[in-house]
Amino acid sequence: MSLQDVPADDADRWVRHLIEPNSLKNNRITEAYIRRYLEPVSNRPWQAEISGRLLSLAFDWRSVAVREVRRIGQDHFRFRGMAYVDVATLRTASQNFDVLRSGTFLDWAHANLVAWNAPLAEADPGVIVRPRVSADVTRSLAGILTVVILQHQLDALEQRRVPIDATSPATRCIRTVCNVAIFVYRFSCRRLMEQIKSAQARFH
Amino acid sequence: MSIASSNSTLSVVTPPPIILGSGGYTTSAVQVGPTGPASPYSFTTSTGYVGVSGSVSSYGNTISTLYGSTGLVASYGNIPSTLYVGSTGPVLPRMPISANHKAEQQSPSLTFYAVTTSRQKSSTTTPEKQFTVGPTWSVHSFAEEYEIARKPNWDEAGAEPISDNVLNNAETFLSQFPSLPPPAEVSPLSDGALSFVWDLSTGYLFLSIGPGTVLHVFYDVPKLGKWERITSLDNRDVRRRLRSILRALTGVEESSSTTANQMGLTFQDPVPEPCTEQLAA
Repeated sequence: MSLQDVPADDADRWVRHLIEPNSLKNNRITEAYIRRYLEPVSNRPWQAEISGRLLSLAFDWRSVAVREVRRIGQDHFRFRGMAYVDVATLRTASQNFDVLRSGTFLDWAHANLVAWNAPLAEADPGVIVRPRVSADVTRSLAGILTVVILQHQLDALEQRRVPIDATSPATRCIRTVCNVAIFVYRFSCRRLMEQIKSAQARFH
Repeated sequence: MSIASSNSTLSVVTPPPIILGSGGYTTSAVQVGPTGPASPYSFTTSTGYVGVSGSVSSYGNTISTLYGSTGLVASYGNIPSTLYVGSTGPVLPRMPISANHKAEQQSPSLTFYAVTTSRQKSSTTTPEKQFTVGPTWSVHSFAEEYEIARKPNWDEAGAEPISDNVLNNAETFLSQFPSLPPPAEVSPLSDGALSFVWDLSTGYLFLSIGPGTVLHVFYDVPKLGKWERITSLDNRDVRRRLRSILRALTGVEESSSTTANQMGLTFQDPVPEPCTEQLAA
């Protein structure tokens, strides 16, 4: 369940771990990788999105990547590096892209890098193929993302994490929703425990 | 045929025969692997006394000129950016020609000029017809990029495999455009297609072939603008369009990169000895 799609803070960074084969070439993210994971969406203000996380909240990005590799358990999947982009840089580089905070209960740091305008490539009549986002979009996004692969670069990326700006409306909104969710969760647990106890009392 | 190289283990990837002239003088071009940014591209003329001079061009910019005679061997590697030209025979020593060439991510294409030389005009060599030895790569030379995708669900997200059919289609289709330099990127897509990217200083070209006979073309060439279409491999209009795109990208006419016979090259009176004057010049 997505809590909200709030624009990420300018000072934040969108990151995505790279574990898949063919994700890197000459220390750049491959365009094919973007083509595989930038998915067209419908019924949204934006037309395509690729999942990632916000560095300010993704304290566990290394362990998440390692867990993912272990879960897949294939030799050709391994931690290769991180793709990232500064949110402010992304917004400056292209008005077509943005990062939207879309934390879920499973991944509070989840954020989508979205393309407002990502038309599908036009196909000739009779040519049947899965919908493909225009190569112009995937190409420009691949050109914007930066990749870090070396340990010291990853450490530097870690150190570039900025604390969430408490005055940010986005942050306030996220925190409010989070607090409400936690309250509801605890309240539900308490009610459940009470019901269990009363049931036990009746039983005895 | 063996080609000497000091910096890598070489293996012949594709030996497309190129026939030079009608006088029984045959030369063959072989691409020597491994392919990739740091790989050397070597060509050799296998039979003697075919006066050949050439130039090494990087996307239309000539960076060095080379001359050869008895068995020209030219190899180029980005690291170091040095062009070697020499002879398989004892006449010409292996000599380095410094190439004023900034290392690029792709190897440049080698463009040779076939010349007519004769005993009577041994001191002059006049470039006549230009042809490109190539293609300098094949789809199969990028096997390591797509081999992983030959089985279903290779991305653990339900991806379709790259089929033999797609590979054969790609090989056949791309062989129609031998002036295409090696692509910067060859990658499988999740729907069973194989994608190729050329990001040159003269423009950008994306091709995706498959599944089946699907062809996805996108280009962004300053002179011609942007264009994109998903079509079929047998679409003649798109092939024509691609030819004009390649002219803009590489500056080479596709029809010129075939055999020398088709270009009317002749070597009627080849010189029996290499022209040392030419080398000195």
